[in-house]
Amino acid sequence: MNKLSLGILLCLSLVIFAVIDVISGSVSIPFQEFKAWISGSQTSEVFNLIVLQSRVPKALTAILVGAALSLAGLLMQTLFRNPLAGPYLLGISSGAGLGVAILVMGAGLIGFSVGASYSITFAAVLGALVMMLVLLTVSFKIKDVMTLLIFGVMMGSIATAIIGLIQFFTSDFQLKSFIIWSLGSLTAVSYGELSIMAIALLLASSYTLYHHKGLNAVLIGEDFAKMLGIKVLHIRISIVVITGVLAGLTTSFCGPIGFVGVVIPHLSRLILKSNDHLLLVPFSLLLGGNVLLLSDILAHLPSNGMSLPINSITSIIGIPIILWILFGKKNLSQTF
Amino acid sequence: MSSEILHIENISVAYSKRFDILNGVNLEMASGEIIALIGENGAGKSTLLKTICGLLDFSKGSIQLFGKELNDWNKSSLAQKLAYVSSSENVRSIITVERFIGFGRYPYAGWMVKPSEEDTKLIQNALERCKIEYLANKTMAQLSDGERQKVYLARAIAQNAELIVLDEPTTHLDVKSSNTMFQLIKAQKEEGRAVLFSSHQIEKALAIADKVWVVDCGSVIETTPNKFYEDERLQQLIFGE
Repeated sequence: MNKLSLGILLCLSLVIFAVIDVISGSVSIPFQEFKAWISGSQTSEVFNLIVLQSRVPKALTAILVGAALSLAGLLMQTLFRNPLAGPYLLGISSGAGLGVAILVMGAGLIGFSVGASYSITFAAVLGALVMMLVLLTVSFKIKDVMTLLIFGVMMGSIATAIIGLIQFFTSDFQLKSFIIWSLGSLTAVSYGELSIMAIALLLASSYTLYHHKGLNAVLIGEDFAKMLGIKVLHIRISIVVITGVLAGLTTSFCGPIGFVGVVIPHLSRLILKSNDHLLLVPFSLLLGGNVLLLSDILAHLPSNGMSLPINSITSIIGIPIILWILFGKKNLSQTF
Repeated sequence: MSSEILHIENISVAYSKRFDILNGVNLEMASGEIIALIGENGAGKSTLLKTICGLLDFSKGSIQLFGKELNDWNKSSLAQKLAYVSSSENVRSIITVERFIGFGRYPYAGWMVKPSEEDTKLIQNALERCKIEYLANKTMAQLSDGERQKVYLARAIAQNAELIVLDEPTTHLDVKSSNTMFQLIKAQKEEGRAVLFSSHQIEKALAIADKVWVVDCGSVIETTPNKFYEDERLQQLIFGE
């Protein structure tokens, strides 16, 4: 199958999964009725409420979050030249979590109450950016990719430990707000928040596609890219900002979602047998959207009105793939 | 008539404030010249090459490339004049050889990087010059060290630059492969290109070089292959007692 056919197939499957995601759930919607609703002949208030206010935003969230995490993961793997880099494994999501913890619970400690969702978003993006900057600074000193990976994991653990300390000293009310946020879910993301995510993703994808040449060269090596006239520092800073913003936004809206960011770019490379970012970027975006939609469909399979935590589903799918990458490849650098 | 393409005046390079790895270096290189850079391990050969390419900063003095200060060059324009292959280049990725050589056309390419007719011609020419047409569709991960070195040189040739800088291009190569590599370097002169390369294979390197730069204790001595063999002190420096 050629690359264009693969792309078309992913677009089709995205639409099919989105429809399945919209019609399945605690209240099942028969497909015929959904079709009638799409054509305008079915205009029940309940349908409008369920579909427009709950299911469609949730499906759009899955697509956007899956795509955003995949793009963030792809860029981190390029920057660190490591197929195991990703926002979750390298502690970027934990950094976003720490930002929110400091805002929600830390503000409580000094007598303030924080409720506005946009301040949570800002704190998450800031936390992710700070973590990404620390990693980037250390990456100048530590060239060994495995050491850097371990450093990232340690940073994530430190962030989690600090969150634990803040939790210990905080009030019950603040703690409850934080725990509800940290459980994570694709539901409860407003159209306003979706618009922010869509704009950020559009800008990030456009930038990445425009600079695909530079990214391809950086993947080979920094000196190599510099000697081809690529502005490496500009690309490094841009990747830090893009991954920080995308990982921060997704974490603030949906909580930490693991393994999508690390697995999807790697699968894209394996399927396409290419590391050309002109192909990898759109393919990872589409594949990421598909996988998170599928995870969401799987999450409400028990059909007793409950949805399984999305993070558990992505971890169950993602961890075996990561183990396969670790044990199946003799030399990790050769996967690029 | 050959013109000056590289002019180094009194440069010093340091990795720490206390110790200059190169100090007061003055050198010149003309177009179409082949220069062999020799010296002990750690003498500063790679440092000098990286400094000339703009990958390392120098603390004083000036470097002029093609009549213009190094720091005044737009990096993309400089990449059309100067190609560099690092000694630490070790590409073992899923990228095909043909696409890797295509990186050499990046300084000339537009946004899409769809190779133009000229790009395709130059990539094919580089494959032919290095006699590696048969590797075109293999991935870099599938190559031997010798094949990989030839591909790096082919990428530099495809860059169509006037000056090619090669840092130890024969490291890890067997006798046959290193002979081929030296022949390929020599052939660049016929194409009108200048080559500055470092090597520990002194006799083979000097056999193809017009000039020799000997790095010793932070300074660089310029000589010719014939004069090198007449100078006992220099020979002792390189070959030992």
